[in-house]
Amino acid sequence: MTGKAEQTRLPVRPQTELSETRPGKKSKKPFQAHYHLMLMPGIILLLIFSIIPMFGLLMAFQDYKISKGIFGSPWVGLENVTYFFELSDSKVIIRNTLFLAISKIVANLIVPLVFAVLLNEVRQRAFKRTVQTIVYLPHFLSWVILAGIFSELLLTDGIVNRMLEVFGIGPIQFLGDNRVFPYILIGSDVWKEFGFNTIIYLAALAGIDPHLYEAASIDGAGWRKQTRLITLPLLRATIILLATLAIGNILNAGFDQIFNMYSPIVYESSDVIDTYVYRAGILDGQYGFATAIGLMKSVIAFVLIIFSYSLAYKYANYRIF
Amino acid sequence: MNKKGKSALVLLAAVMLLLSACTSGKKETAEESGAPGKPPEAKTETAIDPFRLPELVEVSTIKAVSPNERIPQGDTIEDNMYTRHFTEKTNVKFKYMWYASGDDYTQKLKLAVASNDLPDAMVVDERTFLELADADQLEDLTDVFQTYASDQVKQIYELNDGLSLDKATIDGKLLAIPNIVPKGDSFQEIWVRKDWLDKLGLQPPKTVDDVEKIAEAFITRDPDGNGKNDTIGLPGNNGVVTTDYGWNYDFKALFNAFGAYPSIWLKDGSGNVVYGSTTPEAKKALGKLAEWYKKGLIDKDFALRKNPDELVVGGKSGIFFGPWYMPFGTLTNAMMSDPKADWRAYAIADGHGQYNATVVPPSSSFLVVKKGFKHPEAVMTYFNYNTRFLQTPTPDDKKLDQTYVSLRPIDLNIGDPDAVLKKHEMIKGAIEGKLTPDQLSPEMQGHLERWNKYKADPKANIGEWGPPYAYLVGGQPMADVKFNEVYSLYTATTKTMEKRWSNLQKLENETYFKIVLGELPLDAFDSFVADWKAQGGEQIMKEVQEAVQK
Amino acid sequence: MVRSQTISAKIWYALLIVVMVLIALTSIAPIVHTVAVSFSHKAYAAAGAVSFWPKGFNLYAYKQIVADSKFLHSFMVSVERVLLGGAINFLMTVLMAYPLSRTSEQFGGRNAYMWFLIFTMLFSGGVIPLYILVKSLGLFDSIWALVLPSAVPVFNVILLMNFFRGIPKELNEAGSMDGAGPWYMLFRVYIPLSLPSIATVTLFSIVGHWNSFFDGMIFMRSVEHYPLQTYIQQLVVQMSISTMASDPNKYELMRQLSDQTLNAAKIVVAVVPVLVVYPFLQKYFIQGILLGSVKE
Repeated sequence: MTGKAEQTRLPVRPQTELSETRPGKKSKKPFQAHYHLMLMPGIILLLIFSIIPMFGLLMAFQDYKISKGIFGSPWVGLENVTYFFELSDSKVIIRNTLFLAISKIVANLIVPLVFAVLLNEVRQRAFKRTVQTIVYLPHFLSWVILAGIFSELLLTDGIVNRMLEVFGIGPIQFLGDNRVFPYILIGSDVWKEFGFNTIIYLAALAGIDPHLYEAASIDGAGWRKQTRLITLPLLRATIILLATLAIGNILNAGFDQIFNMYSPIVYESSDVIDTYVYRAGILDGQYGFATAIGLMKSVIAFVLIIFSYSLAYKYANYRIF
Repeated sequence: MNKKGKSALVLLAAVMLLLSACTSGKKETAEESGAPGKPPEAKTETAIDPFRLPELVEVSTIKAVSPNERIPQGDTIEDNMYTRHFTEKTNVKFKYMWYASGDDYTQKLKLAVASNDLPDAMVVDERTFLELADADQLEDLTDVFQTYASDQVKQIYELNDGLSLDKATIDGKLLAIPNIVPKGDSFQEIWVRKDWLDKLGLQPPKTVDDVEKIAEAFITRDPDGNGKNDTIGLPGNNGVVTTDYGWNYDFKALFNAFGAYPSIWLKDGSGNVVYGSTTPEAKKALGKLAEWYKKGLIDKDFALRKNPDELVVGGKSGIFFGPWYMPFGTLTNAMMSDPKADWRAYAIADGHGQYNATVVPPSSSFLVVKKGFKHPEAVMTYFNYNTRFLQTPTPDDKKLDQTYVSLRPIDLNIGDPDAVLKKHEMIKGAIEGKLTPDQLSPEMQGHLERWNKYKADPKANIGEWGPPYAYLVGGQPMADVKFNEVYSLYTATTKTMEKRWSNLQKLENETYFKIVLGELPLDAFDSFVADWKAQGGEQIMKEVQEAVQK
Repeated sequence: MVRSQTISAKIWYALLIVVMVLIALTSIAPIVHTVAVSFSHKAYAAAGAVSFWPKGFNLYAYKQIVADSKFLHSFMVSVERVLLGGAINFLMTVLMAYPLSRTSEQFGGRNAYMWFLIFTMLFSGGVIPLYILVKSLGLFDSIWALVLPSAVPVFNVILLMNFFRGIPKELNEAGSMDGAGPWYMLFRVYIPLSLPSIATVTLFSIVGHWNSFFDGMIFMRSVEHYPLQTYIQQLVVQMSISTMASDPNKYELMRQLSDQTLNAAKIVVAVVPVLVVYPFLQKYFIQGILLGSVKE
């Protein structure tokens, strides 16, 4: 395998994906049938398990009654959506959703990047690998478990406040103060997930030709300069890729986490679309309403994806899809 | 024993006689437990045997099991000594479509209901029951009940004046077999460590002020004597400030002591229907709680603490509000970590020496049959047998190991609404030697055995302590005082509630918490009431008024 | 780097190591806590008195687990699911990523397919229609219900497609000249060249399969078909008091509520396989990544 890889070694050309074969050989497109055939199994599975269930989206425009089913329930048009905006809470909920989701997206791009770049500096391979493994660990634990532990640590008589007390700070109502709680959500989410993106960044970092650093080093470039001039530009594609994919999550503020960590006193800073829909929809059986809000979310996410896609293409000349 | 207790005993004996009478005079054999008894068939040659079908009928159902369900060696949830026994006796064979535990069960059930994927028979909560009834998916059981219900079942339903059956009847049709919630669950008590009281020379609490004084003393006067300032006052419930049920650690008893009845519908002085959470009395109770919180008498973190049990189990709190059954779980754990603790339960009076309590709904679970199921009588037959099994078991029934009793296919209890009090009297009587064990119901005989086992070696058998202690001590206030029982006028869902209610409840819950925690001043209560009315409460109030007047 | 070995660089490096160690410590703290609880006495655990070292050390919880046949059964279901699901995900990912990595000039329908994928990634009919679908396909209680609905990991397809696009065109053209068809190119050229990327996306799908519990809960009717995470989820999630209020067995349930030591032990046992397997996978990653890095 190594041999084959060696054979294909070519001059450094980042973003080869841009080099579309412009000179027109359009006349003949070989293998079309094969390409369709390769996609076939996946497309069929998606048709069955994603597209067919989408008939359920019709509920969004209904006052869904289980007795009548999707084909018999009364149609109400956009009433479910307008009702949501009628609620005094809707503004707060949308604000919370956007704030938490965007903060998490940004933090989950930057923190792992910084961490990966730093970790990449570590020369002891075993140490590097161990740290990389360990920081990825929290990813495997569910929020149900972690929320239980966090709630314990962050109480006013919890370990964290007892430690702060030594420095004469606090006690801080981490979980009960609307000014603090959102940051606890963001921080704990980053803590849990940063190992995940770190792996992707490290993989990209490993792909950078070490000769580049050697050359830069010989030219007298320090670590900072090397990072700025070599590492970051070469990671640009990865960053843009991750960012664009994350945009699809812009309205996902993290249901599992919030649901397990919030309480009525911090609703005003942490109630998000998903938690709201869960309470109103699943717990109260307002299926049509819940579906409508979910659909609204999907539509906005779709628009944002298209938007960020064209931005990435226009300004970074980068095609993700 | 006081006079009241004695009269209750007489009543109890009468009821037991009555109940056993309808099992066709089998009482004599029933008492010779251990003797190889024959399967009890109805003596009279009536066309219908309420306890057995002529032919085997299969019924699909679903089952909620405990995650740590105990199962005898070699048995399974689907096929075990209980399922075999019940099938053999009744000719009704249950097949589980699925079984699950806790929240899983709830979610699966909701999904099945929403997808119309229902078993022939199942037990659901009131909301689901109403939803299914509204969807016209339930079999009308009116005639089946008339024809097949055993006399025993019919008599028990009369014990709460038909309230339960009313709840299960919609538009004149009986659409479910309801359970009967023991009224004892309504009376939230204040649990106090008597050993701490004695140590500090305090008297047991009778009023809200007493609770305040005790909580204060427990915080400041080092009741555990470890020289550290590490005890706290009252724990709270992290989900709600108060409920109409009176769950662990919520403040229902305090609200009731102010004459406030949150979460239920009642009439105000002028006969208008009002919502209990919006009354001036509720405001007063909230004011008291806010004052307590400010003084530090309530756990600073109560709104956030995931597991308030830790405070009690860890010996940090020696006073809390809770139902009679606290010893079943939490206090058993507390005893494990501190076997010297002496937990007692008391009732709290209002300013006039009256003991108020919002009564829990008469029924909370409903056994429903899917519309179109061919053999609804099979469900009724099973239920007859199940009820007899619990109330007046045959010798054969008694042979089954009680440990696994929750393996019965469908578990829906009906019984005397005053069961907790009566069971309290039974176990107390037996422990004090006024009753012999064979005068006890089988369930209480089991609890008595547990108690004796615990007493013989408290250290080894601490796990046996909870259930008998719950009846013995948790049931005590019900024997000591007469409660002023307050019922909700309306427990169903109105049209506007369907859409607005969850939002109004959120508003209520949020406001209550914020007032107690001092994030909002007490007077914010008034604007809450105005908001509540404006956001649909007014309309709902009208609808309830109409429904009540009907 | 040789020149930069000044004293300040050394201090800087030491600091770096310390920071890394601290971060690593906070990452394992919850697991250490859970392990400590799992070895502690029930009463201490219920009182919240256990932090990072067992109190009242005993093996009760683990003895319970060994005796619990359902737990071991679920474990095997999860293993089966990961193997089958991982294989299907792998196949779908490579089969779809390759044609999609062609330009629209090379493959006419490419963009239409791509948007179709994006659409399915963002829109979902919700859980009720899916439930009805799986039921009418007769897949309840079948392992296929756990692997087919998630058979196409669109996110992974996009990742791998991007990696494929990075593989030099010249290679492709050379292949075409030799008369190699797309199947040959994919399996003999692209896949071997993309092992690091494939390893990464495969890990994602393995972890995804290992950790997901919700589908197991709704599609499996009998507990013996539960995958491990579903089984654990139902044990660990404390029943809320409100759930209990409508439960006929509530008094008995109360007695069984807070067996935190047992629950902790079950979490530990569920995480251990990942802890054991992951470092090996990671090693393979790094080799793969180094291999892949040569290509540019």
